[in-house]
Amino acid sequence: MNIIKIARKEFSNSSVDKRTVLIAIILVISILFFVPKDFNTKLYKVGTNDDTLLQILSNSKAIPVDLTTDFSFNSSDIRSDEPLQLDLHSDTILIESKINNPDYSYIDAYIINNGTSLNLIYGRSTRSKAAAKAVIDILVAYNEALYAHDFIYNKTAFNELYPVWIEIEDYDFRYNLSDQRPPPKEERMLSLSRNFNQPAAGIADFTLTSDEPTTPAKMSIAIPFKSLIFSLIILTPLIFISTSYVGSVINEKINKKGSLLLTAPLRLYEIIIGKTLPYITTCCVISLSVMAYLEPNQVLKIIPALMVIILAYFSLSFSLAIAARSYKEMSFFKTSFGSLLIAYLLIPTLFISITQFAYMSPLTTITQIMTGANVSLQQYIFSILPLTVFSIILYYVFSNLFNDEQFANQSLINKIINAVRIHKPYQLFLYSIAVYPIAVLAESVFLLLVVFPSKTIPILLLIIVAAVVEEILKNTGVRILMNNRKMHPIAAGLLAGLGFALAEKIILLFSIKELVQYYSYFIIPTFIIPFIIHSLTCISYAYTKRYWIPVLLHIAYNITVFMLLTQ
Amino acid sequence: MISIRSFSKSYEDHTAVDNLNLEIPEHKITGIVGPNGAGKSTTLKSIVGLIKPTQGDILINNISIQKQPLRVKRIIGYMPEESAVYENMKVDDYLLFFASLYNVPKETAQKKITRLKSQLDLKDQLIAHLSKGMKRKLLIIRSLINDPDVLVYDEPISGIDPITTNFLLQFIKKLGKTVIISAHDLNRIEEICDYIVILHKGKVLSNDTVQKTMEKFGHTEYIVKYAKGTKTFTDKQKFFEFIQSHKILDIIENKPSLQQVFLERFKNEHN
Repeated sequence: MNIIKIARKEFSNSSVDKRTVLIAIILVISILFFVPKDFNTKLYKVGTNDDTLLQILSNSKAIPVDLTTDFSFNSSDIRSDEPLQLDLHSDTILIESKINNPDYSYIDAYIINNGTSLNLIYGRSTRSKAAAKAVIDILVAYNEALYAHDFIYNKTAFNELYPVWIEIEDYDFRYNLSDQRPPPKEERMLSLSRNFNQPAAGIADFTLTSDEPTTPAKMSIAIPFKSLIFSLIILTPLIFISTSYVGSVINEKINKKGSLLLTAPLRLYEIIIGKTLPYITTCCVISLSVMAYLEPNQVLKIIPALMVIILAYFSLSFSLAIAARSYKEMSFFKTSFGSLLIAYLLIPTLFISITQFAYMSPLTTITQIMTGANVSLQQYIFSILPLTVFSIILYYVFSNLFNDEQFANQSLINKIINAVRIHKPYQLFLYSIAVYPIAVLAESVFLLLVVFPSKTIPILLLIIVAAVVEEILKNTGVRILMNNRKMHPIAAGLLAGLGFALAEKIILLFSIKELVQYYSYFIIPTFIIPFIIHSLTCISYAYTKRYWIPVLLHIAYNITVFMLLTQ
Repeated sequence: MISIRSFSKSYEDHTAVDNLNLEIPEHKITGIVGPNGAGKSTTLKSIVGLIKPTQGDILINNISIQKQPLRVKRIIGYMPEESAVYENMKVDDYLLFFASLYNVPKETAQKKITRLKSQLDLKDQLIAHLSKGMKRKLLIIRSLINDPDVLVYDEPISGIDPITTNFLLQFIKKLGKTVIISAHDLNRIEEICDYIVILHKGKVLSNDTVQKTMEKFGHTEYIVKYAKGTKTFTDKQKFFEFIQSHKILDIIENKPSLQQVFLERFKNEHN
């Protein structure tokens, strides 16, 4: 109940003017209700008196054309001085240039079958020309489909039209990593080529791996345009609304407005959830409304992944607001870390056709579901698990810093050490398991930002980054436990090492099922050795209280493994 | 009653409060004074549960703030040093919001708000438009919204004009509640306090009535006018000897204020 009270206050006390919010809501609703879903179709009115063409044009979904037969054609409508023919059996299509009949001026273009030829008639306006082009595109596409059909089943003169054939093979990595194995390549080729009698003269041993052959003019790089659209629909409101959220949290902190809430008879979680709820709800409502409008059948499936994205972004925003000591620092943090998280979410969606690891981003899962692709439960969990753990840890740690004492300008490291409560050995073990996904996230962001753009893997840099990230995360737990209680450094190191190595292997096994078999044969090198090395680095820290020592040990180990593997 | 037992608060590099033991009597006003860094705000914030003690405990009406923070928070009214209020809210909405957090029925809260606003001459308007003094009034009403047994006021009169200061202090005095108050303007809180606690470097230097505190630390000045001129005495013995042996025209007894006592006691602190 208190959560609702705070949420209501948060909503009414929002720094955004209520009229602005109202206008924004009305605008969104207007767009959803008044703009037709197929607003980009039926842009042009095209008429024809030919039944075959009518069928071809009506079946096409690619081009915005609205057909009409609501006219009668008189040959006098065509200016006899410029009769041009539309030849369906050639890529060269000739276009008529005038619409003379004023009765049909509302039609942008029409195709007339006068018994001997097809005539495409259009006006001089830009709209009319665009309509004519749309018609041509439909007919060219139809021609190609017809040729392809002819090529596969009858293999007639098509080879003469296109004497050079290029085989494009789309290798789907997903099949390697899941149970959905595709038929072997030979089988697929056979199914497509079983109706061929023999290769055409001059073209030796051509194969097809795609269902539909196409011409070079129609080939383009597969830009995941739809994926980008879905991603932006989710990320845009998230960025704007989280900015308002950050402002609210940092206001409580810097202006000490939170002190009064903290002296009220409220639990900390009620304050945090109450403050967060209005923003998260607004984000969800906006994203889900637009998604439901676009793909109503898929929207339920994306809710968990969407929630994880929103939770991750808000947990990061909350943490940064708590960590920052000023509005200026906050802007810097929000811009830099926010961009990293967006990179982590967005970049993998572009690589879905290349690598299974694109599923490390829940945004990939959402865009895949929204575009009608199948996402297995394993892929779904793989995409949401690390960010879920990451968000929960961030909220847990930084919620503990949401108090008057921590509002003071302490160093961030001290704040975090105060916030992470490790008092018992088992808590260190659990901490080490829980921070592993954060290490994965940090390393993944590095991979996305450095490795993908450079196209080559700077192995040494990767080794150093991995060692620094992992050792800082692990040994901070060791440091906190040893600050809070007396414990033997070896015992602390072993606990931290065990937790981290275990989490590392569980996530790896979870993401790549095939490794299970591999592990049963190589259990010693794949678990025992990482466990030993993680423990050793933690023990070295527990004794020395210096982060750079375990980092150096880790780097040395990684380099040794790399050299052994490459020999 | 507030009972502070062996309360210490340490940070990484310093100890803010060191083994503090205090009993704040019921229905009395106790002023906490001391130079900057003496531990006043730390103590007050610990009483309301904003700061967790490193050691010791604080009991309000025999309830531990550490063990039952929510119960304690229900019987405390707090006013922070900063006028940290939600500027985009209106006065009534703000007060009703806090009343709801203390589960005060809306009707009761509304009546109380109307009464207190009238007493403190505050109107329902956007908080952003309130002056600093008005905001302090708003915070006083907020601290009373749950009808608390104990009021903790951290610098309630800092930065406001003398008329409003006087008005607020008299208002606080008439409440008849257990009040613990800190302020820099010692002349003003001297007027309303029953007890004065002087903190110094996290320890209690004195905890007594205002009168006894001034006697303990202050020196009354006696200005004697006699036939040959004027003489000033701070030593009571010498003063009595002098007036017995001279023909006196007039005597002015100059008692020190709490402010003067404070300045005299801590005159070397700044250096």
